[in-house]
Amino acid sequence: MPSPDRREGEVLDDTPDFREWAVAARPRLRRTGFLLTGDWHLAEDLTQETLVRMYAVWGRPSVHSVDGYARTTLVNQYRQVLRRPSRREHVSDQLPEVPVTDRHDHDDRAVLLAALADLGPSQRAIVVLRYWEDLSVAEVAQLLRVREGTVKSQASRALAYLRAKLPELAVSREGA
Amino acid sequence: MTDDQRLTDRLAALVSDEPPFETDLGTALWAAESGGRRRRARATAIRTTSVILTAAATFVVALVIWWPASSRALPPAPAGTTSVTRAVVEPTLSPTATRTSTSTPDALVLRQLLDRIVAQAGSAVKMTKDQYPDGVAFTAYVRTKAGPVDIGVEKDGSSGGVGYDKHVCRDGLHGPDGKGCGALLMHDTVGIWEVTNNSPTGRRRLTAAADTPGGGTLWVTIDNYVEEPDGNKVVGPSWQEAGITVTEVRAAIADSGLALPDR
Repeated sequence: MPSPDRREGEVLDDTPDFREWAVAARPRLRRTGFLLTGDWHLAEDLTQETLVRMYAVWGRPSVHSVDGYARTTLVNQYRQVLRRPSRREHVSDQLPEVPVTDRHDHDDRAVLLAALADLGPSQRAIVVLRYWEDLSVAEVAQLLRVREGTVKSQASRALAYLRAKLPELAVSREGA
Repeated sequence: MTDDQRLTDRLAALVSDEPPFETDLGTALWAAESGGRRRRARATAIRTTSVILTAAATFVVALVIWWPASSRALPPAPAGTTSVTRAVVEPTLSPTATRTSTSTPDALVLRQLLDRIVAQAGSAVKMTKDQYPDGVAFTAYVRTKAGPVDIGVEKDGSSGGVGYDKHVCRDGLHGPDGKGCGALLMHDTVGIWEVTNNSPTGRRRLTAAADTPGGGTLWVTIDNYVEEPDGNKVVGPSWQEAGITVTEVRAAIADSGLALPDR
């Protein structure tokens, strides 16, 4: 991580700091990328591009939170990918491939992945940031540059859809 | 357990059996660092270019503001002007300035003469340069406090200009159409006359002619029948109302060095 007492304009060799951060952040970023895209290969591409962009701005005083900046960069990359016609997501009857460990578990994950894929890009990003990255509504709103009310309403709709697809999510509400 | 927590758990389960990275860590870090350096260099280059372009734009804007309005625009050809070649005149000229191929030392001095006469009346808002095979002319559309006038200076290769106007104006003739000519100054090598015309009423033109060393004629005219930028012709203030004096025109011609000594 950049030294907190770093002065603006100061030229330092950032490589050791960056490497230390990147080693820890890389798997985390890829997991988030996978939940956003449903594709491990694409998630790794997004992660790599995020690392490139992080190195380019590494040490800048304007980057207050390295992890936050990386998360924002990853989400922006995800949105860019969706804007590319060749990479745009299509609704498909075919479920994505998931490593088989347990038949029941496999089915559950496949259903969740399919349900996530049904969500719109913004709703999916909100679900991942809110329930996987554990960000607050305000943080999600800031990251996605939308109003907090939008985050709440989109999250509510996304959860309703996921509950419909995955009934066990809904059952717990009464017993919470 | 809340449904939020359940969803978080389900998401965690989704990524629990993640496959190994396709690219090993060392290669990924090396690629990130080299790619990041390229992005930094590109960003620096863009910032530098941006600063240079901004500075250049600021300089150009400052230059445009600084230049007298007289030297900025390309005027339409005044009615009756027979130009062979028309070119935009650079706003500022100096005898040592680098000129286009059609420019001559005479043109530089001629332009200075025009500037001096224009300065008596107001400021030029449009200016043209007409280049002839044997001469050059500048015409300025001048905005004065009393209205617009055209001021022109010309040096041509025709001899006898002074004598011709002397002949025409020798008796202050006035024709039936209202045209008239009155001599204000008559010397051997320089003359200044005022030509009046009542079509439309109020037209007055000051003409000065001086013989030049090469056998040509130097002309200075201040005409109040002016073509506006929109193409309309209007009668502006007379040369006197515009603040121009015979004395100053004569002095400007003499000081230019383009004419023979005033005799």
